[in-house]
Amino acid sequence: MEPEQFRQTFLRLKTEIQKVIVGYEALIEEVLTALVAGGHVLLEGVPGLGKTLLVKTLAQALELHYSRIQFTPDLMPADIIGTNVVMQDEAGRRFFEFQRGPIFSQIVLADEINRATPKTQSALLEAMQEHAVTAAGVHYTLEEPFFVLATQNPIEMEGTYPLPEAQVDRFLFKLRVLFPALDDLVKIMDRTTGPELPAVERVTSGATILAMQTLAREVAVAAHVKDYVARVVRATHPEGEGTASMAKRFVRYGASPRGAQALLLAAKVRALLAERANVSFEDLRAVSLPALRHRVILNFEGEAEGADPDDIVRNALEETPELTRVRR
Amino acid sequence: MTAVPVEVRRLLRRVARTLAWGQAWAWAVWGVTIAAAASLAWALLGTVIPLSLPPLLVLAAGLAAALLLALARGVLPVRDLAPAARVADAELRLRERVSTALDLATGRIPATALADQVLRDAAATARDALPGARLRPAWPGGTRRALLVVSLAALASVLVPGFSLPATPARETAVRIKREGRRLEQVAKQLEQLARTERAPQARRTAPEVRSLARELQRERMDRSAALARIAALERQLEAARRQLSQRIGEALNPQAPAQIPESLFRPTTTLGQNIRQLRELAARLSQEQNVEGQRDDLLAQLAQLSQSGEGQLPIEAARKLEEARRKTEAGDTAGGREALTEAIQELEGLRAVLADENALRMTERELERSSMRIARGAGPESAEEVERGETRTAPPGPGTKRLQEQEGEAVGAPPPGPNEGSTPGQGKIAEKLGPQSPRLDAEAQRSRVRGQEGQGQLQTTELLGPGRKQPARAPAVNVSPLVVRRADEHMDRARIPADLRAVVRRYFLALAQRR
Repeated sequence: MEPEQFRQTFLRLKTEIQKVIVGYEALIEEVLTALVAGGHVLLEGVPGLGKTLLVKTLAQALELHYSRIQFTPDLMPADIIGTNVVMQDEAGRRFFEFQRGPIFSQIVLADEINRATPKTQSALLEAMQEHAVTAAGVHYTLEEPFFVLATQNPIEMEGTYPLPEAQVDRFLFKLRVLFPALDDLVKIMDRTTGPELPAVERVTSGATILAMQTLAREVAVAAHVKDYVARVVRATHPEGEGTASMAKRFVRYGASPRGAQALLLAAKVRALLAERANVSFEDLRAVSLPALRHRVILNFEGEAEGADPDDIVRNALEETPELTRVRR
Repeated sequence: MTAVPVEVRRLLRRVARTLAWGQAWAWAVWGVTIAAAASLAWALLGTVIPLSLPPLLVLAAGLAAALLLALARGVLPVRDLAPAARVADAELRLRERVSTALDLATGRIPATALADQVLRDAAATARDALPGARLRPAWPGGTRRALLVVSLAALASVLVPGFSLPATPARETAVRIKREGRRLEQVAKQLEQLARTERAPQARRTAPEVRSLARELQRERMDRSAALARIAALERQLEAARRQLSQRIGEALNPQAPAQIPESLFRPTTTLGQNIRQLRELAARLSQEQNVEGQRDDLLAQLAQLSQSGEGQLPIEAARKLEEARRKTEAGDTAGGREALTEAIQELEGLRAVLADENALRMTERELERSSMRIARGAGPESAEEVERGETRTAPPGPGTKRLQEQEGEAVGAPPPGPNEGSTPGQGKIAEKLGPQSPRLDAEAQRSRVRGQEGQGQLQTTELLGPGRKQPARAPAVNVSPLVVRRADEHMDRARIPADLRAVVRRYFLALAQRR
């Protein structure tokens, strides 16, 4: 695949989704970036903002297998992965057969993921990281591309189980779905209450997405740009050299090495979209908030003061100089 | 590795050159700041310790070194283009295209499938950027500070030298310089007197210069380096003049080999004086006793003896005149003999004046060298050798020729006047030679004794040394160890607190922290 083809495909996908989803241009672009980078997305927003519709539209545009799992407190891991059920053949002999769960799809919507127990949430761990599941000692590889979109409600906390750090860290992006602007709200009403609902056409296939993922990894990164990524991630940690001032005060644990990977992969995708074959500092800055905000764990003071992880990441970017060794 | 595109290389060289000069400027600013600060510190140090180098020289040397270093940085070729690539990307908004291309081309990062596109992209970007690729000259940080420090240093190097803090070695050196100034003023007086008595023209010309130097040394705020430089300059001048005189003396004594001058001529001008006196007596006798045959023979014999004894030590012209006088007298031409004798006397008197000049310059040089040594040595105690030689004593303000006469007297073996009269070198005790010891302080010791009876008067305390006495601890006991407090804090950090209770919990722990 050529970079130009990559860009055109990306833009076609975006345009197709925008036929259904009004506004949220940046959000759509970030979701697609995560998809092309091969990562998963955690969408955070109040109910009714179109999160589920966005994922569903994406699946339609890609013509990929799509499944939706509504997470509830009584949901069990087997409900997600699948389970062995007793079957009987024509001869009357009984045998176990693995009944695949909804995880065996290419686009999985984990709706209200924080309502399930940590045990159930952790059922997603292997699938998200390895793109494979293990049930009753048997290893099953999931079909590529595999893309998990989870949603959670930030307001209603009663009866929820916040995602453990290990789980959160596996999402490439954490995106905040904000309330639409006034104009967009009017458009939403027009589009969804009319006689005809917009139809979504298939734009590309899973194979193309895989090719795009491969191409994205070929984008070159200069040595000092990589060094900058490492320093930014280091700056989110409360101790050590180059720590940002806010991180020193409000952070218990900073971003993990997965954060650096996420930052760089997403920046590569953005570079291709900007018709470049190399990553720039601008790309890194553009994707730093969704890639790092959920990896910064606040300490007691940060929680008590209501510190925003976005501010901490911004502070780390501000206090980390891009050029360190060149003195003018 | 692939080749860096030509356009990229051209752009990077241009940027690298600008960077090199920018860095050179920054180095210059830093170097100048450091040099100026060092000069300032040097000037201030000079108020405590006598220093031989003037602060202005330190400042000039430091500035020159800093500027040379900066110049070298700007001129030397730039080998690593990576910094230039990064700056070019940042300043010309090239979105890291150039630095990535350079990294790929130099193998700093592994090649990817898109490497060719990166290089093409960078070349195109560099081609577009080249016409207007002018980096803004960076104003190095600290320039104002550098200017301030240089101004202060320049001001200090002009104003501070010569100032000295009380009770410091610098102050003692300043006092010594003044003392040497007074001493040299006495030397100048001696020279003037010598010039009058011996009709020595060079001494007459030298005296005002020595006096001027002496007055300069007695001026306020004369530091050691300036004093030494001034003395050295006069020493050089006197040495040149003395060499000319030596040359003249040598030519008068032996025109064939002017450098070979008899050593005896430099020491005793009195020998020459005796010769002149004898010749005058002979000339007088020649005019009075021309008819007495026996006395003429005696006169001729004395003339012959004088000619022989002065051979090689008298000027050629004088010796020739003596011989002529002897021959004429022997032939009965007493008038012609007297005339030749008078001419010989004039020759010898001329030589004596030149020798006096030469001696005076030699003496002055010696005195200047002594002053220079004493000033350079600083405020230390005068050496025993100097005391023994009597060098530290200033010459008495009596007749200027006295000291010179003493030196000449020693040369001919005459005993020196005063307490040293009758002593010979290498014999006797120093105290006997120097006389009674002079008081070192301008005060007399007062002996005080304790009067009264035991148990009366003030108590006197003395320092008592011994082991410390054990006491009970007064510090309050700590109930909770810091380790436990720290662990509690860490646990609180990890604890999940409901949002609506966070403020309450925080207030509680803040209150605890204040009580801690």
